Amino acid sequence: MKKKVGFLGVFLALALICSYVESLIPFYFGVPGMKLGLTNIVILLLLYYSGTKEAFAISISRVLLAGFMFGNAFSILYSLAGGLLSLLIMALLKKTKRFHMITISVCGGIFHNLGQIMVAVFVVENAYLFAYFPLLFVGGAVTGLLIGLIANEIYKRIKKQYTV
Amino acid sequence: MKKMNRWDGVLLGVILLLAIVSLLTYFLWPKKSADTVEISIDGNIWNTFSLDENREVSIQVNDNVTNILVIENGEAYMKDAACPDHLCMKQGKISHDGESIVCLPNKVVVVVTSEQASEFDSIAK
Repeated sequence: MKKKVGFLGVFLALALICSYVESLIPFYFGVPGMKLGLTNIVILLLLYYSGTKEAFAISISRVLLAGFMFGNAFSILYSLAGGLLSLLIMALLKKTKRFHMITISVCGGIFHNLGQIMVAVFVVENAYLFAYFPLLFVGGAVTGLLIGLIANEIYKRIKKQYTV
Repeated sequence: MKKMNRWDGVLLGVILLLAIVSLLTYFLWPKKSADTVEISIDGNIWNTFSLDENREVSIQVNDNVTNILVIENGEAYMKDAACPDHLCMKQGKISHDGESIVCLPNKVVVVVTSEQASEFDSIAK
């Protein structure tokens, strides 16, 4: 049990560092809500190394902590919406055992942006925001692909036996 | 499970298709010129202005100016904003029907519509 807490703690710290590094990189495509999603490398790997419960736990913890440190109540709401929807889809896809990590990551990226835009539309009560959907869809897919590639390379090299 | 299989191909193919379709829709959507700018705060229409008159609008909530919108030469853009990320200022100039500039932290939405009632209603609570 102690090993697990320490292990998850490392992943949480990694996720937080990714959040921070991401905030330093200017990444803007003309649409609110586009992010690199570096944190998802950590979450995706955790999903494969440990499992669904652990991934959810660290994802939620990361959103809350990062929100308290760098953000505000609304940023927590958007991040949570995007992160949870994305993780839900990824966990479900993974359970079917039919898809490759990269494909799952692409879907995760798409649904992350979709979750965020749905909450944004709800918050400002204006359906016009859905006009951004095409850009968010493609952006999510592309960042998902990149994240998936990186995570896959890591997963190939750091074997499961080293993890808890 | 290191290799991709047929399922991946199918799913990725569908995604690619959706991406192409949505991008085409986005870029080929007929752009109507419209003449009015509608500013909403927190879901409620705050004010509308004509795009034909150059002006600088100080959007404010309870005496606090949150955003400054400039209407100039038939286009509108966000000149200044009291929000942490200033994404609204990077969204460029809008002038066609349906285009918008959004400042999420301040819950400000600026939309271009026409003088008559707009086709889209806001989402009711």
